[in-house]
Amino acid sequence: MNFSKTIVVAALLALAAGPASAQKVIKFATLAPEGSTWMKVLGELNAELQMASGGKLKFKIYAGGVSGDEKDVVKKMRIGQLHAAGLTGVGIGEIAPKLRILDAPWLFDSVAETDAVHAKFDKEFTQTLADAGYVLLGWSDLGSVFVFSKAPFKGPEDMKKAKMWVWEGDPIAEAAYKAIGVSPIPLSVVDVLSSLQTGLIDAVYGPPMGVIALQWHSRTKHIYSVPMAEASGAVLLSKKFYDGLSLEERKVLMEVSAKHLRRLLEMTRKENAAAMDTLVKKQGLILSEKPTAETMKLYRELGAKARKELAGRLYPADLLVRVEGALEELRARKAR
Amino acid sequence: MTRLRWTGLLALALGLSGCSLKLVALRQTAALLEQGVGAFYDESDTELAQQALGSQLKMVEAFLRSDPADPKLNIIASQGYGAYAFLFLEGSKDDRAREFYRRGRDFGMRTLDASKAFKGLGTMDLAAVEAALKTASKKDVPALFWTAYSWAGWVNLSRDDMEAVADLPKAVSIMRRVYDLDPSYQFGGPDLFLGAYYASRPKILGGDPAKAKEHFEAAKKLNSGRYLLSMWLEARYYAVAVQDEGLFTGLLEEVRSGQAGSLPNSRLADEVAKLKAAALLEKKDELF
Repeated sequence: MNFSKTIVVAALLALAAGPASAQKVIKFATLAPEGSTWMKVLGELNAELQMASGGKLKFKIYAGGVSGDEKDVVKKMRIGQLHAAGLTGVGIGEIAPKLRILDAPWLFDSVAETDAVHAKFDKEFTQTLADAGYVLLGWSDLGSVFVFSKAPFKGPEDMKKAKMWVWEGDPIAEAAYKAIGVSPIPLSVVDVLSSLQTGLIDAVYGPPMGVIALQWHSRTKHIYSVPMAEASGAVLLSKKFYDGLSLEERKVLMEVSAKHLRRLLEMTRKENAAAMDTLVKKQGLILSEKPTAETMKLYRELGAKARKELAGRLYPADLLVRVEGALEELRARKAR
Repeated sequence: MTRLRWTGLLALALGLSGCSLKLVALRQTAALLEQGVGAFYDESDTELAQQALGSQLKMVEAFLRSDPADPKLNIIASQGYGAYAFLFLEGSKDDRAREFYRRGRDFGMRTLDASKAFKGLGTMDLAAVEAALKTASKKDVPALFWTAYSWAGWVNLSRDDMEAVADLPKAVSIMRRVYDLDPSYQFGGPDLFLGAYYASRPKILGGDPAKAKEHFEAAKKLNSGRYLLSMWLEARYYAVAVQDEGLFTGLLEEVRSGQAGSLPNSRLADEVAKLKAAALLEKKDELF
């Protein structure tokens, strides 16, 4: 937003706002730092929300993780200290483990498939969140998860020889590695960079943007070209807060959020592509060649095995069957 | 002896023809400028300082056209652009600040590129940067400090640019080396840099408020608590990160009422710190 636009918005707000006490402030937490694309889009969302609601609704954003990690944020949302947050699969899992189906290993072949599943299961996912006390303002996926390593990988066999890291308590990656036959080394995220340096581990996983933010690219050399999963993310609002809004306010909030968060999702996808590009072209990392059809077939089998392993623990088995069925249908339609 | 001296004089005479004569004059000017830079950082009037720094930078750049490799001029330009960005632009004109930081980094990098040990530092991978830095000594501190300072400043204002963000580990590793070599440089600058770095990152991204606090405390010892920007940085980054509103207000009030210029060459930075403190206090509601 440019300066003059800010003034116009401010002037309109001053006209529309009325007494300050009538304003409802949505306290919002995110790990994204000031100045990031995330925060820029949220700032624009906030400006439009204030204008469209006549100054009655606004976000107050706690950026850069000042509200703590995702578990802290979810706790604070439960007690009403925060009302909304941008969460990754880990935080979503705290609220509605069922939705972790979206993070399941080797499930999606493309972001188009992710979008299709979001759309097809929208009602069910929305209901799951409502039952847990939350309203979905928009999906904010983190991107495709790749394995970054010191030595080059050609396929699952090479991973068995490496010291693979797994996020402590991340059932999804555990199941994926179990399917491959890898015994990973569990560590918390904060210990990963130093452990890459000391050689305790020599391979990690994450979406390209995340890996750059975590600086793991500076201690690895190779990127394995087959994504392990699509890391999900969502912006959630406490239902209690939502229920306290007028119908008109709800409508405005949902519409404005949907519009900007959809844009954010697209921008994040582009940013991940740019991240991958700079890792390979400027930072000197080496992206492995696309695997053979045979290897891809292997991942289909490994994925099915790993996802089955998680059924009943994270998400119900019938949901897995339905999501996989929807994807097969989609692929069959595409092949025709 | 005499013969030696004659040989030397002859070499000098031969060397002093044409272009080189200009070079010697330039290098002398550079040396003068280097000594005079302190006067600028002692200025109490921030507006005059801003104008003066702008003209000085263009003059230095003009000199650099004739002598692009002069290490002294490149460091003056690197420091000048980095300081201009931080003192006069960041926070109000971030787009310009970002560009000034980039220039500051590039001038600093030119000095480094001219030395055998650090040639190509900007494009090496982290392991190679670290290996090159092992050979650094105290005389390399100004070039390393101002390069890392502007490099990180540029990244900090380019958080939506993955190419920039991916370079941050290198800028930080350079500053870590400066910290090992001379932590007292620029009023405890390496500690202030690392303090701001550890405070401004979420824990999951390597942020560490306790470590940040240690660095701010160490800087305070090095500048006897008399460098006002030190407290401003602690308020802006540490107090916000730990959401300690009392500390935030206390530090900024201390800056506002503090004595400017109680350390040599700190007057300008102290005056700017006071302005920045007032501006930051106004933003308190957004930050807590």
